[in-house]
Amino acid sequence: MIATRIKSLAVRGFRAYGAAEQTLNLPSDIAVIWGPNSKGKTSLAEAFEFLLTGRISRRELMASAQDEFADALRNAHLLEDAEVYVTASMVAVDGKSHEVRRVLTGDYAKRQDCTSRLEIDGAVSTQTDLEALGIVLSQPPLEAPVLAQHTLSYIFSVRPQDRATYFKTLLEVTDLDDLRNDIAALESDLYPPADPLLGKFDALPHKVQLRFMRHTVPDAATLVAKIDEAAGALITEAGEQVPETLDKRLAEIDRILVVRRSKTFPVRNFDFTQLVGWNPPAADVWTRIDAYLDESKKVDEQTRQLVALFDEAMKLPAISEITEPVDCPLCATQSAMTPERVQLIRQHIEHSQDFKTSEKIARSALAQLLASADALGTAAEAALPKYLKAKPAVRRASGFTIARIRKLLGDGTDEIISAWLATVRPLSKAAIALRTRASVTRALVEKQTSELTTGLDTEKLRSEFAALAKCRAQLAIAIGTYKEPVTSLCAALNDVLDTQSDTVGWQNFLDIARQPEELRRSLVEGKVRITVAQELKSALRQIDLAKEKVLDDKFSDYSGLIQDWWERLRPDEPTFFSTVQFRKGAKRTIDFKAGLSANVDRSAPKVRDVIAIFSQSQLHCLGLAMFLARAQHEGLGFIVLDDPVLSSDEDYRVHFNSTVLSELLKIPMQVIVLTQDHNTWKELDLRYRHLSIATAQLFVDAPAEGTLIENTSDVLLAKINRARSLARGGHPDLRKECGIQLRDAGERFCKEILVKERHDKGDAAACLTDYDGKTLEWLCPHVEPLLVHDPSHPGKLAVFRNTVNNACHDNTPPGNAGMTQACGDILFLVKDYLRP
Amino acid sequence: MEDLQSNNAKHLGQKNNSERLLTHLEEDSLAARLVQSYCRRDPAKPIESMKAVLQERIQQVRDTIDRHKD
Repeated sequence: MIATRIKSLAVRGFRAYGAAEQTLNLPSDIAVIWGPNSKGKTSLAEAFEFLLTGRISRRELMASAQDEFADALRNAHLLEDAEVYVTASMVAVDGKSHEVRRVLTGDYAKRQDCTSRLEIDGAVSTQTDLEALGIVLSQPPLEAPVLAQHTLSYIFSVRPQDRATYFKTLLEVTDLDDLRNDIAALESDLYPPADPLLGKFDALPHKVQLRFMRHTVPDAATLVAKIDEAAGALITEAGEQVPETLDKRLAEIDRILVVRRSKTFPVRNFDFTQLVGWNPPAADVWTRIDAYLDESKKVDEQTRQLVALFDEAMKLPAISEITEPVDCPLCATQSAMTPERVQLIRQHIEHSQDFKTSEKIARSALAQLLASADALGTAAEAALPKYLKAKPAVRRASGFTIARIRKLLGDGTDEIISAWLATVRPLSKAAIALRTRASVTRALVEKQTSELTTGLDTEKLRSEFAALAKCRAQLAIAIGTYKEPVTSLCAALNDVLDTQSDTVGWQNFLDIARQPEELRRSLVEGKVRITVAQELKSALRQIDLAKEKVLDDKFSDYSGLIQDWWERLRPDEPTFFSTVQFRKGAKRTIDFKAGLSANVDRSAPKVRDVIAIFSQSQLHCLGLAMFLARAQHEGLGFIVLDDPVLSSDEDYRVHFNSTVLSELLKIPMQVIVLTQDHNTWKELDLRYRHLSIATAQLFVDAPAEGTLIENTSDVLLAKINRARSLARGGHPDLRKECGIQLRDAGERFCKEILVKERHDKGDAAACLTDYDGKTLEWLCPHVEPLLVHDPSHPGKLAVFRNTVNNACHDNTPPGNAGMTQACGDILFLVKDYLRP
Repeated sequence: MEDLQSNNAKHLGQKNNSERLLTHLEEDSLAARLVQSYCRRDPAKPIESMKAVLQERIQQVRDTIDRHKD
């Protein structure tokens, strides 16, 4: 797999870097950058870090000094509107070149993080997009593969607890803690809202031998049998005769319970009957009464009186069968009885019969109304608790008094009693109102029935029954309000009475015994939850053990890697790094152990804590070994090491420069070393020249302009950069030196152009040494025809040559502006033709 | 962060921490199934898959009790 490689880094306005963009070229797998103290090395390392993470770890590590980092990222001398950014050109894991850019959009402020915008190939991007390029960050605080001096010193200077946390994140196992916590949090899912039935089961009297069911839930039949058995045992223990069936046994227990409770207090006086259901008279009732009224209109009173006479007359064939008028048999009026009149008499008789039928039906309907009113009156009476139905004297004589209740319940129960009392009066009033109304209704119905034929008033009846229904509804509401407080009061009272009558838990037994199916379901569910909760606890223990093994594995892996890097840094020392491990019995503490051996072969070492016995140099070395181990373990494509070797540590430096860097390059890994030690810089340049090591130097001409980067491995650019810094010098000698540098740069530019042109034409053998000894006077005329990108380019080169010639001769060199212009011209041509 | 570690592991062809953890757990144990569901979790509902495993286990125990006792 291809690992990500950084090919160049451009910095503008970031920390020590000024308004002019500075570019660090990184063409090969190894680069070394030299800079004296306070010349921008750490700023450069932090530029890498900022690019990758959007922050700098130094602020995270120095928590107490976070406020001090206010405005720390933006160069202090930068103009207000100047953009601050770090840009890297890189070849990513996809094998393609990409430009990654981080623009600072808000600097650190007091108690406020910095903000930035990440762009990849010109598009605003996220950290996830960065990961897609193969740049996968580690856990904070050291997210980026950048090691700085302050990181190393931090590891060994913080409190032991912080160090443990620090190493824990370094070794990246906190995700397992998160996993473990998430799983532990599942336990709450195992406990749904409390099951009242199980609550009663758990509060059964000790003598009821059913508790085993919590652990072994029996089948339904066995459960009922066991309840039956327990009921029998309870009755026997109470000294009573045990009935045959379970229902009877439960009824007997209920009876015994009431009797025992009543010995202390007439608790049955609280009993009341449910208010029976009642519907207002159906529409049919009123329809039947209305039908009667209709019929009564058809037959007047006189007709009704004559109906008997009509009946008799129609029994006479001489009348009922006439076809011609005949004399009236009653009054003898001649021809008074005509066929038409006989027909009329027949009609009267029929109407009278309908009327009689409807009257019968109406009386039946009125009887229904009477029964309905009576039923409500009775229901109202029954719905009252016994203590409200009894006369006060009788009630008091039975011991049912509020004072007695207060005494039984004791202190602190006023609220329960008050809540109950508050509902008693409305209940009583509503019951009396219904009862009274029912009496009134009854009287009305009776009256209407007796006056059926003369004065039936259905509207009055309807209105009365509507009023009755309203009274019933009010009683139903009063009962509903009464139930809860009286249930609470009875429960509290029964608890006291049960204690005094040795019947504690009996009620619970009755409640569960009457719902065997529900009880079994609850027992099964309870057993399931307990079982799975135990399994979850066991799973957590297994995870804890496995987590320790993972940590041990990882620590073992890391220990091996750290040991390897330690040995490369400090081979053959009698004091050596031994292992990294959790402290026994203190999981929050991580120990680094060192071996102390008196023997050359390190045999029989004494193991001690590194913090206690390692020198500053050794601790520093251990920090570096750990960082390298992690980089290797994570397969990072590149690392940045800011002064990885203490300047006082000469022996250790040798091993770093040779063995350590060689091993890193073998992995392979791109290594960018920043050093203040000039010898190291020179040594690495020589040692890794075969790998085309990139070298650069950092310097500051003017504080306001910030750090400048001189890419010294690119001879041409190095000379131009050097000349640029000299061009600004006021002294003529500096400008003369600038001219010399520029002349060399110009000659180099011309030679590279000529070689490139020959390579393009297929002359692979062309090289710079072919033009040894050639000066600008010879080179420029050969090169000018090749500068074809723009007609002005040959002229730029000609003016450049004149300026440089003037500067290099004995006469006074051109002024700053002329020299700066010459630098700009040659740099422009280099970038346009050779270093696009 | 775990996802980053997974990415690291992918780049390296190594096991991440959760996968390492699984190697130390008994196969098909509740612990292993919970860890597996954690590895496969939907980032939008991180706990849901583990809850599902627990509910599945609750149902298994419920069925076992009913099968043996009814």
